[in-house]
Amino acid sequence: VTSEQRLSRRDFIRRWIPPLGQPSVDEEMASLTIAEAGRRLAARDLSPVDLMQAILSRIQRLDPKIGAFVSLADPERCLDRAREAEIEIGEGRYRGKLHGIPVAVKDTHYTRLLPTTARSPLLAAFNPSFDATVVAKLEGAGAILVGKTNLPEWSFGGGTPGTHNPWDITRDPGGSSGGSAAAVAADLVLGATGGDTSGSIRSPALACGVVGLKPTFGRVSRRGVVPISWTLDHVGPISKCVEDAAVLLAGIAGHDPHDPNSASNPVQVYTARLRRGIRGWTIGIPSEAVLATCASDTLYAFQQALTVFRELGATVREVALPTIFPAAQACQRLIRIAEAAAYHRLHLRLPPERYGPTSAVRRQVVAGSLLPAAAYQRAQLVRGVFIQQMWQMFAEIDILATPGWRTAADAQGFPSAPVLSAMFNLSGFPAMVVPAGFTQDEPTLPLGIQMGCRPFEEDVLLAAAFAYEQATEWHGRKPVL
Amino acid sequence: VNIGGVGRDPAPISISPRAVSELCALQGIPLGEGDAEAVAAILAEYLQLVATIDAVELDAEAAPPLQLMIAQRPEVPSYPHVTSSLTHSTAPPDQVQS
Repeated sequence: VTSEQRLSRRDFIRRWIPPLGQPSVDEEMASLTIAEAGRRLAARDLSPVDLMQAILSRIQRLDPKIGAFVSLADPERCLDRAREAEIEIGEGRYRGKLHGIPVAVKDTHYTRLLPTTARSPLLAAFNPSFDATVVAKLEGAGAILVGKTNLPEWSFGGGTPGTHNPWDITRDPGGSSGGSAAAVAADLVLGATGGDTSGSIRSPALACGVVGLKPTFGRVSRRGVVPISWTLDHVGPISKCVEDAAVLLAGIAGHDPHDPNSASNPVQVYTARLRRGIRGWTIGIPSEAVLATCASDTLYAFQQALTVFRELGATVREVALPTIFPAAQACQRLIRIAEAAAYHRLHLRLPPERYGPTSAVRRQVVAGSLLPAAAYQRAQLVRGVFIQQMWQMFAEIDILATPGWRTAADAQGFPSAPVLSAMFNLSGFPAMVVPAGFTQDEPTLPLGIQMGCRPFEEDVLLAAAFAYEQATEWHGRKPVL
Repeated sequence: VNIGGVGRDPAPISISPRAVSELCALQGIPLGEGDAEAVAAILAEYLQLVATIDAVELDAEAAPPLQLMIAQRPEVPSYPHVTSSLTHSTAPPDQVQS
């Protein structure tokens, strides 16, 4: 910690933005978490119709400023669904914590009722004949899809052009699931989903001050989701708090026979094990050499978080990252572009203008098409060794905690971030980010920390994140809009 | 294509736009104005990654086979450390959904 960073924890916490004034009833409803709204809906203390009206009204008022949505569902249909939920709940047919909850999905998820564009002119007229499994699961659980969220062309990139960060609308919300993160941060929906190939759930969640979870590879079906790279892509929740992440994950996780990479491991009841605490757990952290590459306030927020973990009874100790960690990012990037090139292979034979006049993606996937197949295979071999080393590292620890990273939301950038992020895509191990403070410079922007754990132990990850969240108040802060 | 030395200290890689044009033509990929130059620069960057990966000392025969990837937890005998140091219990059967 440098002298500039030696603020007391109290001073650090005082850097919060002043709290909002008394919210209107609509704002109060829109600001509810899924867990809070679910409890009130189940108790019939809140009408799904009123909740939906509050959300639709807020979208109408604020989305022109935020630009989170690519397309919106018919408001009458949303209200009809809310009325159905009200009737079902009233008749004692409550489906669970997502029943009557307004949600959004990234515009890579196939939907029958709305186009699926992935923000490419090539898919401008694409109207899928079926819903992505994630969409079907959300709707089956009673959630109501209010719209599809913005992303960069084909999900390529760390920013989301056209969407504004709710904490500073002159800035980008991060990407590629920036529309989902901005929508959740701005209370335009109660929860959303995104996709994560290199960090595209976690980066915008960090930038927008919300929770983002990339589950274990295979935990959530990717059927009906426009891919970048099928061995690196993951779908997961973006939420206002950790408990909501647990609820959303429970809603979308599970084996899907239509997804060949879907895992059959049983889905745990994540909310049931959320409050067990982390006393006696071991939190691993990267070496000082790795941490030295972090931005100072990001590192400070991380060190404050470690203090919280210790106060909660965990042991924090340095752990050696896999020895081939430096090659991991190279493997991730090579596998990503080679697989993307395979997906785009037939599209590339079309006239170049079909990708649109400003496409930055086409040239990248053309380059990916010219890579030797042997290079791709060797990257997968190295990846196999990396995964073995990840297992070995996690034999000594319960959670790996890392600083969050600066994103496109911050012009300063953070060069080592993609490695800390992409290592979880390359390995398939789960990881999530939670809010952990704010930048010291103006404008005040959210910071966060990342946690990862062993595969299919999302319950462990969520419990650690929940313990941290409950010991802090960062998640309670809202951008002023 | 000039890959100037593969190993621990890979040299810069360059590739000509003409080579890109010819390779794309072989694959039936049409190029627009300026594409060959832009793709050549991007490809050189990717080939640098290839050199980085080639620099990893790896016994290819001993490397684990590509199994996608962790769709199932590995067999415990292959990873005896996995279950040895859990400081938390796994979910009891009544808390597991099918």
